[in-house]
Amino acid sequence: MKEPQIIVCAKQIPDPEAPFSNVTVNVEKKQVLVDAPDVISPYDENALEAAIRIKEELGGKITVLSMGRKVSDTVLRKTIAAGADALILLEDPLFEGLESNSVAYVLSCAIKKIVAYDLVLTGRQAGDWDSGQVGLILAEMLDIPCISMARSIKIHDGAVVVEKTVPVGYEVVEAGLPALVTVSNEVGELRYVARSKMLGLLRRPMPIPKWGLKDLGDNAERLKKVQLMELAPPADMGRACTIIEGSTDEQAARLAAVLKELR
Amino acid sequence: MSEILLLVESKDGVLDKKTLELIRGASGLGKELGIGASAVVVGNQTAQLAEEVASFGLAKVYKLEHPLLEGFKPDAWVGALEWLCKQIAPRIVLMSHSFVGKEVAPRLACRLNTELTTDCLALKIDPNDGALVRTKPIYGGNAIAALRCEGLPQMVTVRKNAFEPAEQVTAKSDIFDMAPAIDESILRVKSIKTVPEQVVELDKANVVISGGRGIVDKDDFQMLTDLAAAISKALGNVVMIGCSRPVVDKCWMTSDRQVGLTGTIIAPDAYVAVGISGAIQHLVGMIRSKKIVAINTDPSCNMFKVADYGVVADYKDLIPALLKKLEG
Amino acid sequence: MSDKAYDALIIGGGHHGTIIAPYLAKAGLKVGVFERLDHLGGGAVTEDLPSPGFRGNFCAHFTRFYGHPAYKDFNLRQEGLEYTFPDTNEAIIFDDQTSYIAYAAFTVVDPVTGETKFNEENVKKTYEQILQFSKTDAQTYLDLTEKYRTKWRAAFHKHRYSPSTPWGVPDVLEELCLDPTSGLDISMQYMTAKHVARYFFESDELRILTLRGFLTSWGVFPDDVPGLNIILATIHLTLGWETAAIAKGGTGSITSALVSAGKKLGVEYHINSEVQKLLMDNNRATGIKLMDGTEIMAKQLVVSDNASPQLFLRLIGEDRISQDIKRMARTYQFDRGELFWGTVGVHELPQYKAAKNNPDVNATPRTYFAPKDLAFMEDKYMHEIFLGGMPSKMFILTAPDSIWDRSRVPEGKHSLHVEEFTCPARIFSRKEWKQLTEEFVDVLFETWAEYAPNMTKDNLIVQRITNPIDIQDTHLDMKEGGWCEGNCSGIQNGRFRGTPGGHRTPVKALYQCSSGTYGGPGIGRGSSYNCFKAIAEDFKLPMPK
Repeated sequence: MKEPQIIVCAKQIPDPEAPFSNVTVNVEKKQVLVDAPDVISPYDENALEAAIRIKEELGGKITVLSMGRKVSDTVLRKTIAAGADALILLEDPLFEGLESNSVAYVLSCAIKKIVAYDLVLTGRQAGDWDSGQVGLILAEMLDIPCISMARSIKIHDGAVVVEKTVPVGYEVVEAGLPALVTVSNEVGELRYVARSKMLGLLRRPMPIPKWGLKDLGDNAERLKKVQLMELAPPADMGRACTIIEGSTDEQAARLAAVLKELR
Repeated sequence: MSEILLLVESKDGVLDKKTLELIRGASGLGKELGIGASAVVVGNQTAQLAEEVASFGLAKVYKLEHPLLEGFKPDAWVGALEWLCKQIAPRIVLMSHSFVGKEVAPRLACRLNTELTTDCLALKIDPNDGALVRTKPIYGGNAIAALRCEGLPQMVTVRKNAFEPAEQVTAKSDIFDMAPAIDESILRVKSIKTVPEQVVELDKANVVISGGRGIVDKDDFQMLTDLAAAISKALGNVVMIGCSRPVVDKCWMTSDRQVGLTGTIIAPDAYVAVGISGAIQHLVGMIRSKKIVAINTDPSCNMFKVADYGVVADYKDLIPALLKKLEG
Repeated sequence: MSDKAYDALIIGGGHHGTIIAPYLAKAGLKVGVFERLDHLGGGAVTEDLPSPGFRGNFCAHFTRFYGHPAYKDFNLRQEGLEYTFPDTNEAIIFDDQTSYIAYAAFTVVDPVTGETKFNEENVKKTYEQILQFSKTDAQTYLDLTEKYRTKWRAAFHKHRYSPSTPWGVPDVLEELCLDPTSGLDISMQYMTAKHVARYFFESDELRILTLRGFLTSWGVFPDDVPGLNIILATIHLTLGWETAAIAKGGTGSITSALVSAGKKLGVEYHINSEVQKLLMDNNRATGIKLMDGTEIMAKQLVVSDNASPQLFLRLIGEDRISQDIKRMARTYQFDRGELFWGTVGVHELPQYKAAKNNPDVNATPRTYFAPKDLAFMEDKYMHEIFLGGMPSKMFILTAPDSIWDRSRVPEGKHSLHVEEFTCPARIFSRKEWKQLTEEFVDVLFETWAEYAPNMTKDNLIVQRITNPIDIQDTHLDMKEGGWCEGNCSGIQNGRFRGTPGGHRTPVKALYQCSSGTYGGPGIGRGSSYNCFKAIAEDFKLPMPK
């Protein structure tokens, strides 16, 4: 079969593993400030890994789409280092704080602009808002088959065959191309790119197209913002932690006593 | 625009507890708005389930029946629910934030040209204009957002335990047969087979021992297994092995063992976190454990902030020593 | 209502908190130290690293505390701080297997007092080492050594342990520049590190070591402006003037000796006692409030062993400081001194190929191995580090301390500290730091084996390498994970380090003694000692000799 053209949607978010002391909720401004570097949302990394595995088997091309008010190509170049072929940034001040339908709308405009594609992959949900909507809505907007929660993705005979995680185990499903699949972490971690390779890539000039709303139909009335009424810090989850000190042996003895008390 | 519609879910013919919670939630909202709350049962043969649902004091129960709705085929369910919503034009649609709800709700919202909020912890009505105000944790629970959305129906998926389960009443709801206008053409994804797997039910354990990114080698999980055996022997209870997300990413564990926002949410008697720094998405899954023990080399990690007992140590040194003490 | 009172309160039992405490106590004050962590000493700690059975230094390692006035003032040798003094000092091995060893020009003759003597034999040895690379540099060595002996050495010591002079009043190093025979010129305070290395040395070998040395001693990259004191400290490293010193039991021995001395003088140390707020009355420091709500009163003064951002923005609070101080505290620069640092436990010590021609490289307290690529170090090294976290060519520093201190390792084994510079913590996510650190260990051993064929992973027993995230998480004043409590080049060096007033703050009776003030970072540097002098002057306390 012909070599598949794969589009991976990757969102840039603040490191979700940052300690909570680095997260500040500004109630007045209704803003969450995360003092942590930006990363590619973890499930989107899984989606990219799935795409790279398909490419390893069948060849083809992987295009990564990332959207936001301001997207860092330094963060996203990692996708190229790992095995993607092209990166397109969808960047516009108007893209800030959009609700899910609007995000999916912008992505669908960009994907239609790319024209030829066989497979669109997204993470099952983003690591910041954890809404899990955009991928599924995008499939609806593109009017293509939609499969969620993939743990393995293969393409053959013009169809995509997916093992999808379901509550009792997994389900094997199949759909004609083009199709959209949302990817779960059972697919596996995005391969590590050695720094030497990364360094070369970060230094090399690389054409990275940036598309704003004007390049995507200029349909501003389709974009709606999330309507945040209030933002509050969470209830305190902290407990008074007793640190068990001493030599390893003493620590083990005290911890054993703690565990035995559970009886 | 006269009713609140909720989607009924069941497993092996038994009504899902989350659905009972939705019934309570929908009834409350309905009372506040002065409109009725209804439920829709989707499937091929739904009479029995519909009868059961009809005993919880709802205004109406819709039986959305069609041979294509046998089992959960997302394409068919979305198509049928789209048809129903266009027929009855509900003002609010509620679903559980479950396997079914997570897939159906976004696609349905898109087709109905409305906005959806997923994974809500609480719902209320804005007294000014009757809009549905949705409370949702964001940034893994580091902030709690109150949101409102455009469009009708007002749609949400609701996290489990957001409401108390509804109780049965003597009056029966009216049941309406609805035959959706759908056919084979809406099925774009073909199910080949479902493969059942042995699934660990972490919520049945008394003690869960979880490993995280700090576990440097897959084989080291044997240490955790040994520890589980030793604790089980010493205490005579059920001890299971869980993990945090990076371990599943590495394909060292299957996702049924993953504790956290996108895994299982548990509240065992004791939770032992080994080499888990405590990303908030993980903490959401285990914070309600009665006792939390953290073992980590980094004294400042989040896990120590939520633990009752902390040991700053390398698990590779500590666990062998601990095994000796438990056996001794 | 107060729960307790002391004459002097010290916020933070870090290295400088543990130094100033016995000085204040000796001057007759009742002193209380309040530390957030479960141990004292800040960066001066030794732990079970890389694993139980071994002892290693988590942060600071290279120390010459025998040169600090406190060593004599509190008889720290008697308190358990014991140094060993190897003759070899610095070594660098290049990828063509040539090498250079600096032998100490001043060696310690009395370990109790730390008294040193000029060692002509060692000077000759170092001269011959440099002669391999450049006759001019060898001559420069003799010339600078003479200047060091007659002029620089005393000035440098005085500079370190005297409070800064106000702008416009030359300090002792600036005065030295006015002496035409000193070899120093006032313009040097504006030279970049790259410029300094080129100015003093002509061989690539000494230039490379100097540039790497600027990093080791002050976290200064080639294009940073080090200033006079850092220039002297670094030339000193390149030429190895003062003897290396190995603290028996590790850097933590300095802390335990200081604390032991402090306790004898009545200092009370409170660990696990995080301070939440500074209590003030009418712009005067009156005490502290702990996290648990306890209030402790300061009858006379409060000393903060914290960097300016923490002191002014957190402990005092933005609403209680001026706009200027707020701006300075907010823009305090941290971006230097981030490391991959750690300990490796090995079966046998590295046997360097270069030892064939230069046997002592196998036993030198600071041993670098690095490519002989000056252009890379000058122009690309830092850029690659900030871009990718790790340079494509490694300039590794190792410290085989177990040769001299067998108390740190199990019988028959060895341990070495290793160091390479990296970028600020914020540049990578937690997952990426973990991956980078794993890669660092792989690259470390691949590179090491090129210089010492036995240093493969087969020789490795256990390793623990920390990265900037590890440091940032545990040390509030080491934001971005650098060891040096903020960049110390440019205006964050010398009299401008920290906020105006130096050790004296705009709040009455509140003093700053941390390495974020004049004196700078590193074990035994002068900030706390000089802070004490400022306090002694203000409170009419007896001045140390």
